Amino acid sequence: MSGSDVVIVGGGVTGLSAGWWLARSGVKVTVLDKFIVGWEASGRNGGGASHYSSPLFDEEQRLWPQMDALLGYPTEHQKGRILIAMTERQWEQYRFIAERHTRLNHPVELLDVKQVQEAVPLAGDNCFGGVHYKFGGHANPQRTVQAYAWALQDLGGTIIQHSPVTGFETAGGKVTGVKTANATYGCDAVVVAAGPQIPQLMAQLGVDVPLAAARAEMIITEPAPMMPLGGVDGHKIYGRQTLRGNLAYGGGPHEWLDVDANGPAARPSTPLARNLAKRLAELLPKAAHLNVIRSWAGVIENSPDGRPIIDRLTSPDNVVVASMSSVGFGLSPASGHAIRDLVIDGACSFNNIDLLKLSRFDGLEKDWREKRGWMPIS
Amino acid sequence: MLAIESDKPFGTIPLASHRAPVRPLPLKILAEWDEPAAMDAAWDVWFGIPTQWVPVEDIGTPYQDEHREMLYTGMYT
Repeated sequence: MSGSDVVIVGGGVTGLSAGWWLARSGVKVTVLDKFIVGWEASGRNGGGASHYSSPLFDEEQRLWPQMDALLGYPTEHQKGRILIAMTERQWEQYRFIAERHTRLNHPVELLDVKQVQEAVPLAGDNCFGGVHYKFGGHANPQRTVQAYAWALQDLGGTIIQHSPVTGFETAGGKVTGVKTANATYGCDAVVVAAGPQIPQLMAQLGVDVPLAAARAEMIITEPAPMMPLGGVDGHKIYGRQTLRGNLAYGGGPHEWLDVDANGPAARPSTPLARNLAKRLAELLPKAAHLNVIRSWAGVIENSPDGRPIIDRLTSPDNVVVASMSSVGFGLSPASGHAIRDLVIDGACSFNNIDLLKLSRFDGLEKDWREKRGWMPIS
Repeated sequence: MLAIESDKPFGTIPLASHRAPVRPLPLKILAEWDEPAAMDAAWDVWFGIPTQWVPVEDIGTPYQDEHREMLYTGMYT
């Protein structure tokens, strides 16, 4: 048996950040991933880092500007975002959001059409206006997951890829080992951060974690001339311009599906790419001639209320379960910190995260997915 | 190299890419310009879960309902 202080199941951005935070505290960490770390939704997403709906928000905002220095590798983090309204209704909605941010002391500025075009040269005169978030920002998901992985290894952590977890060994009300096909990894504590695979894994410990998986599509264009600010959302799509100029955008009604312990049965492109192309061509009309060079659909999970589940269980009492409910990348600096605190200290040090406890779903109706319409198309 | 690095049999290492590359097409050509109205009505930037994007300070306050009414009324949820 190989021994670690903490075994982390799942090498997505949440598991990697947790591992890095734990290693910073001198903990011996092993991360097990069924495939390649950060290779799924964690490494391919909108890269946004402006999550005011989370109790982890303040810590997210505090940490991102420091992450390159803390990790020792580039995340390509850039500050600020602009939200562009393309319909009268969107303009009404975005001004509503802007007013709320102002009341919460999050700095925002309303932009008229001319100001939008100055800030976002690929935008046209077909918009109603914009909102400049002078907080938050975005980063490069693939660079960031790689940075977490390298930084974790620099601190002595071990990452084992292509090793799906098959089960757990328990004794005395604790998990004592994490099993893969080839080995059992002894441990003092476990973090289960396996995204859509969490329910199947936790069921083996007798714990019900209500999560529904879905496929979310993104499209990526060839490079465009660099805009002054790359974090441009709006028209109900999200995305960013990479530092190489590519436009990466997603959004829309995603496809709910079932996954097993090894992931989804298939990984198709989806027709949503065409709807995304329409919205992006409307949002940034001066980019409408750009070729779409890739599309990608990641599988991500949501809890019944769409909020994360970050909780240290009472039984087994050395297990922390962590699902970010489809919003994990941007919050990862803070989620890793919270998970580190739960593992080592039993409580989050920087904010009250009781809102994220698993027990809020005690008594959840068994047909919660059906009631929400979150079922696969049969 | 991946098999050696992972200490796994060669055949157990899956291909790194899941999907064939798309044929490069301009946005304006790929776009579905005759999109059904139902798609637009059901479209949200993310999953359309009303409780997912309420500012944390506003959870459980009357503003939560205002937020839902302004941003999610008429959506598929």
